[in-house]
Amino acid sequence: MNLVHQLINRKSSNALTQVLIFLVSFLLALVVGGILLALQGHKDILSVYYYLLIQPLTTGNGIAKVLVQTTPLIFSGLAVAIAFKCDVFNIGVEGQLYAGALAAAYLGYALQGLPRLVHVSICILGAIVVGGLLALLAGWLKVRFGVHEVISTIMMNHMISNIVTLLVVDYFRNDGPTARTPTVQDSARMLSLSGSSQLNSGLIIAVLLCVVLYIVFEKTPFGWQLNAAGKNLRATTYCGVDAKRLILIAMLISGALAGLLGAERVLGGFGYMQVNFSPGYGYDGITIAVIAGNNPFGCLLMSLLMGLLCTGGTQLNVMTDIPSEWVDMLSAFIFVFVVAANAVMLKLPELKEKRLSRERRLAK
Amino acid sequence: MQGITMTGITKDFFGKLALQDVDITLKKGTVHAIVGENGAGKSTLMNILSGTLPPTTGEITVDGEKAVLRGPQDAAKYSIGMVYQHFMLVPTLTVWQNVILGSEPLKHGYTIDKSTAIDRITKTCETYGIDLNPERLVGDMTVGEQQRIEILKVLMRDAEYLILDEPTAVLTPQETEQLCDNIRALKKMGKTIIFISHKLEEVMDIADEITVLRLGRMIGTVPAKESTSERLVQMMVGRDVQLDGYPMAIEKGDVILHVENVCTERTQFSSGLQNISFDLQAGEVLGIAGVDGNGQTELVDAILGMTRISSGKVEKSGVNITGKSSSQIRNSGVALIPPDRHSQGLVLKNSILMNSVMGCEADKRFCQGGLLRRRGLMDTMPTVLQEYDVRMPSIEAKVSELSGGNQQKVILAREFGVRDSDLVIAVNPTRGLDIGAIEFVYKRLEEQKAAGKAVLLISTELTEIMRMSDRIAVFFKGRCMDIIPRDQADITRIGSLMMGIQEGGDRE
Repeated sequence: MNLVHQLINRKSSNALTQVLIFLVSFLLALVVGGILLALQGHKDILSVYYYLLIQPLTTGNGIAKVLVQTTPLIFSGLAVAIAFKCDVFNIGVEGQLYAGALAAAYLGYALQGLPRLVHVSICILGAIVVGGLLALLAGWLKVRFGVHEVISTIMMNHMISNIVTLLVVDYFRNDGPTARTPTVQDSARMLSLSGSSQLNSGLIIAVLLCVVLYIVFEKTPFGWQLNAAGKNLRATTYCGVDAKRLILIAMLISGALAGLLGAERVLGGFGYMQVNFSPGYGYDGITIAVIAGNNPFGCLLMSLLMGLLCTGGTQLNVMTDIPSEWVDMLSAFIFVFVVAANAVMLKLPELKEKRLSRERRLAK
Repeated sequence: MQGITMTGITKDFFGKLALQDVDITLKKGTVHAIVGENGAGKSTLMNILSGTLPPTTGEITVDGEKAVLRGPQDAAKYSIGMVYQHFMLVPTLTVWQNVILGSEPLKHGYTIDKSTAIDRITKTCETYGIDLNPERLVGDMTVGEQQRIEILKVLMRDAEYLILDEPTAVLTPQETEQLCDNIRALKKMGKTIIFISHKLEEVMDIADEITVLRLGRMIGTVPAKESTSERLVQMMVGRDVQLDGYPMAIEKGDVILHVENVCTERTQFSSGLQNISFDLQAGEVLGIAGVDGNGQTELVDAILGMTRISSGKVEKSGVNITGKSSSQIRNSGVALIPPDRHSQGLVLKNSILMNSVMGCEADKRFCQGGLLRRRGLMDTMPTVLQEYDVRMPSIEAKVSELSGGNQQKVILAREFGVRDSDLVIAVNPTRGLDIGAIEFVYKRLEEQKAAGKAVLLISTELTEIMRMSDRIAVFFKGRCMDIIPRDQADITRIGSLMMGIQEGGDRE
């Protein structure tokens, strides 16, 4: 468990090492993935990787698709990262995003006759508040009663997603074959960035949030205290920092980001809220935040890659007979290699010293 | 030849030499003390002798026979036994059960033979003059008694050479006296005692020979009769140091801290605080003496708002702070040197800079418009850290790269140099520091006192309390036994109070 904590809050100072570790892990994953394909009898592995990694980026439409996949992942990665920063695991992003999505969808179709900017803002605000409050509840249970947030957020995921489904099916359902809410008003749609895809101004918000969170982490007293609390909560408390408040704020922001994810999907993507629309954004966020070492820009880059893998995976499915599970496996390999490499890096100074002392002994 | 000789002992910990070419001869039937500062290699040397650590190079002979010690079992074969600083006892078992644990005498081959066990224990106790009731529960016993069980355990395994690792660190003066009596009795019976300590008076009192280690090297072995504590300190530190002394006289000011009938809840592990009352004035040092675990932690946590005060109140400069959050209390002007700098004082993985402003990041010297300014940090902090004599490779280096003394100086810099305060709470501020750093901490605490701050000094080192305090409060089981002005304080009286014995001699 100690190693897990060390990994989650590993030093972010040496960005170059982290990038190198990532690149090597990525290549290794490609090699292992290629071997698996070869074992299954695939001959043309290079073209598989071409469809997966290059082809989506060759057309404007493809790039737009990648960015559509990337947008929610950025929100999710950041949501997990800010909680991780103070050593709190918000596994509840998945539930919080559904609640946020429903809030945005309801406000989006129920309110009428508002100017676009106002309407969109109200919907987003609603999603942020609902998501934030749900995460805050888990945070409050933690600081007030010592309920571990992993337990409470996982349980809340089940509760929220079922309650949301119930609400959509029984109360907010649109007439039609699929279980979804009515389409939101035009005035509640986020600005589209490309006519043919779901790409919308949510991407701009996500990228801006990366910058904002980077500044918060590196340049504000709150960020420094968050960082200290993540590494040694006790010392931080003894230094006169209100760590409970810190955890509550971090959870509030985390949940707000999850709610924002839901709002972006509803207002910018589908135009309505459909049950079970998330392919597991909340859990992907954990992967992203861990690989990125909680660095907001790392989250951005990781989200881009995961978006690419996702788009390329669909492409691959169409063009070849390779199942989409193979792509999931590939991203799992990347994750495992990055984590393993970091574990080794953490142990490296110790190993180095051991070798040095052995050599010195032999030299005598 | 009778006795133990260790020659050319070197221990290399991942490239760091903990011991370098140490030669030492332990004569049979003597008491041999090993002294040195923290990090001098005393414990490493003893762990090598007890087989817990293998030496990198070097040779050990026991009674003229070359000994290869690969574990505590091997050491037991050569009749070497070690009493560790941290006892290995099961509190829910009785004395005899603890003693036989692992080598139980059996009746009919399968049931434990209690009467034989108790017989053997009583006999051993009589032989060596150890005072113990084998039927008592270990959890109910004092630290001194528990230590006697550990010694008994080693004796029951027929040890001829007994290693005691800092045995007096956890004892009251009276318990120390009793331990010394036990050691003398053991010596009379022909046992050899190897005794690690950094308290020089007791070392000179009971040892026959004293070996001084400094930074992993053997500085010399001197007969106790010919040594003086000045000379030993000089050997340990490499220069003259004067740690003894009296608290500086300063005119006292207003009452800064007023503690009135404070109680906290009893728990399974602590007796809580029972009706604690005292006043602490500006320009005064109040020392809290007591054996570790008698309410000192609870007192700090109660004042800082970390634990709930069930009744009574705490006032700071006339303002009631009972029930306020710890951050409110700290920000009202309380500086704290926490007891454990690694877990409570510092974030080891963060830089020296981050640690030196921790909790004060929002100070307007560093932070404008909600953002931390690098200029502000770099204008202030290097100077402050230099003022507190922190020797560091760079301000961005991790605080874990610093030595213990320098880490403590980072805390001093933060609490005295960055934070505004009128109350200083220092808990075991010199624990684990070498003599030079101890001197430095004392000087800085006196500076705070001279600057008109109220200082609450909580320490388990009685010499430290006597050196610094204007008044001394003695804690026992969560109660304040008495508060004594320094000029009326004497060690015996304080020692009795530390064991819960009141003036009349009744033990509670």
